[in-house]
Amino acid sequence: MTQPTYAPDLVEEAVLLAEPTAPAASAQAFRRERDRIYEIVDDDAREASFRSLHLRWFARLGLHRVIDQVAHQRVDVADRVNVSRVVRALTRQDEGADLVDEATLDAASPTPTLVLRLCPSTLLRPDALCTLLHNELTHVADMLDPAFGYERRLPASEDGPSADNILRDRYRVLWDTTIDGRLTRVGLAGPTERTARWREFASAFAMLGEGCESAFEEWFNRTDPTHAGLVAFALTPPQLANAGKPGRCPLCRFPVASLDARDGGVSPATEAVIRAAHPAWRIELGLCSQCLDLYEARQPSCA
Amino acid sequence: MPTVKNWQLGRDMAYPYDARYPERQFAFVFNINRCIACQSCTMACKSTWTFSKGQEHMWWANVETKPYGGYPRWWDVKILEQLETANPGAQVWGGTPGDGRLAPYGTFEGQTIFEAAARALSPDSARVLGYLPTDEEWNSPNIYEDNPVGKRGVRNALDDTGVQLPVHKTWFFYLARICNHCSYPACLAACPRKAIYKRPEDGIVLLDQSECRGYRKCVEACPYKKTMYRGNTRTSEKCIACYPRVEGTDPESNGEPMETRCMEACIGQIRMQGLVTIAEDGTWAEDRYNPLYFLVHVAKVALPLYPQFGTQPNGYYIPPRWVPRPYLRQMFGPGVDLAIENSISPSRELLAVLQLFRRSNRIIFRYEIEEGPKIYEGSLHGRKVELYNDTVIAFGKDGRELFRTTVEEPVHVRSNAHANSI
Amino acid sequence: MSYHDPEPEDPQELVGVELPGDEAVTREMAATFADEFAQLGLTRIQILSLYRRAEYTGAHQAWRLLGEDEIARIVDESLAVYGRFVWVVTDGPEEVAGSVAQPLRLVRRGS
Repeated sequence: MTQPTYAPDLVEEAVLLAEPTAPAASAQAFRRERDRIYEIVDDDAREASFRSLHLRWFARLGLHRVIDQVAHQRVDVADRVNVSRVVRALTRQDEGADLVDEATLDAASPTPTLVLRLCPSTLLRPDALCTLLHNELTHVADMLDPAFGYERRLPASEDGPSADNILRDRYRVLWDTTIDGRLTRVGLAGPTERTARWREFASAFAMLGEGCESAFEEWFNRTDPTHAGLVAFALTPPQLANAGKPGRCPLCRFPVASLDARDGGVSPATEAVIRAAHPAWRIELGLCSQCLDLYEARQPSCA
Repeated sequence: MPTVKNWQLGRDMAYPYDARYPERQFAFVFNINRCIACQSCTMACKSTWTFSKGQEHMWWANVETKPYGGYPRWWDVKILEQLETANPGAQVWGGTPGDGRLAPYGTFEGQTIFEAAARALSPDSARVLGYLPTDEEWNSPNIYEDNPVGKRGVRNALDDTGVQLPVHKTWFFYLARICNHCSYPACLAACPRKAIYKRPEDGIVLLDQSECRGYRKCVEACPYKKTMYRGNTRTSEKCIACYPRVEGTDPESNGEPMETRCMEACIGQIRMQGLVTIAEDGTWAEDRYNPLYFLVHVAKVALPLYPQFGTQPNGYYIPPRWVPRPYLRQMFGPGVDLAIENSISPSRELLAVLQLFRRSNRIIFRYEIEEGPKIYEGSLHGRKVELYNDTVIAFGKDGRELFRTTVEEPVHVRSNAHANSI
Repeated sequence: MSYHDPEPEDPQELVGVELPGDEAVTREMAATFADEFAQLGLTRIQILSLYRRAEYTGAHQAWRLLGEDEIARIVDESLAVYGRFVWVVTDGPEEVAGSVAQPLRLVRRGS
């Protein structure tokens, strides 16, 4: 992997955020230089000067240091990607790494480009940045590892986009669990990450009931996960496999794991509204939570 | 640091510059009891001033849901917390609210953002206590403000721990905000290049784009977070109070001072904006029949937003009646109880002045009431109500009559087909 | 409205503390809107539609909590006082040389 390139807006914002923590003399020197650039009349020349100034100070303030260190440690990734770009993420949720294919002159050995999306403020928090980078680069390493067998598309469900979303969520939770498990064992993640993953796992695989915790332990401790293994578990967790195919809501026909079972059930007023739209429906047939919400909400407006 | 007189705090306070007062001051009153968050004001401002590249996150005018929301997110919580940290347990009001123009809300005994900065361990260059909001805090106004998320399966009930709210089952209200064009602007105080100035003719606070070098000290200092940084020009920008309209130089104004775009667009008719005369000591000169003077100093129903910050803001709010008083006292100061009492049972004159809101887009400089006979006497919410057939007449800058409002009985019935025609 | 588990790290996520509030507060809010919009001269239908429409969350929440009948009662109570008159706004004469001023009468309320 060659030296990463940094997006100008990320560089500029990181430098501006780091400026107050710089020694006063440095900050003043930076400001003197920056103020002068405003006087350049030509738009392109002014923009180029701003970029060059911010890039110089980015290096001078050492804001690239953690990324360089982690990239140096991660030979499993460095050897397999072409160049890396670091761009600005607008929110913490957007932070992460992606692999992007680019047409290369040497079609026989195409190597993807690594794109890191980071918030400028994250560059000022070395510990958090280090943890984030290792987590993201482990994802990338899996994607590039033939033994993992990564495939870009998950199997499409016959049950529509909601089932696809569920599968994608479960896959993500499982993959994150194995990654933080591996990072914990080499001392690059800690109890905080483990707790966070357990919370996600417990929510995504609530149907496992009492078996949920042991399943989590198994995935957290797994050393050689594969894409196929993750997909298989996400598609049919053991409990679902035993219970057969999930049913459908008699009203919206969407597949659901279970029909609504909240206390109090369907009120007579709501039942009347449902019957108006679905004359053949009977309360014994049940309905999904979304439909119950919908018809409860419609009920008062018909009053 | 020089001291200046802050009549909203009822005392002198430290400010980085000597006091200088404009001849007139841009000021406004928002009646929160009428605001339904239709966001017409927000869009009127956006489509007039901040529709260009680099201004995507800029909302000079916005309406946020209180206490849950804010733009930028948590702006008031954060600055209140900073002040509390700087002066723990002592951000309190003392004295008693009075009738005079000098200390109508008593005396604030805590520290302002200027005073706290002078005492805090901040760099010497920091003249104002503040913070720089993050990208996340700027980028999504109103997201989840009305409908926060909750725990799976738990609906229409508060979280047991009270830490995470499922839905707003409790009270809330809408707070419409623009720049307060403060008498002691924190943005102006913080600017290292003196790029921000207050106009002597109308007190509007402007930011000179040719002088700004993007230090963002104003963004950090403004406690209301109403100056914003624009990445592609590398300068900060702020509300300009639609000054061509206020001056009467906008082509549409025909030479007469007009209210701003956000005021004009308000369909809930919550807004009135004007120019008040400033006395030599910086207080509002007595101007009994200026509607803003009446609402702030006579009827005492309109209160400044977070006066304890110390910038002497020129935006005033008629506080929402249904909101718990401790919250309102924190937000509007100790004048809240009297303001609510007076707005629940409006006096004959207040009822008349409230009829002036949004009947014209011209600035009202004076009003007159021609008293008419009593036409109704009864009660509402257990309080006595008397209505009079008074005529309220609004006058513009040159004394010309802008309009008059009166009540008429019996009701004139129009056919449904022409219900909205003139 | 979403019901997924809150993510404390998500800056878009709303977290807060419990604040006092009950049906009485909601009733007070509903009454305030009714008073204010009755004073402005809106008709019964117009004011009621403010509560019925989900876009106006404050008013609509009161309508959901208190019900149509109670909201109608609150609105009628305000209209019984402020709704019995037509608010008439007459523009001042334009200062145009040679023209005769024609006051514009805006009837802001119907029956």
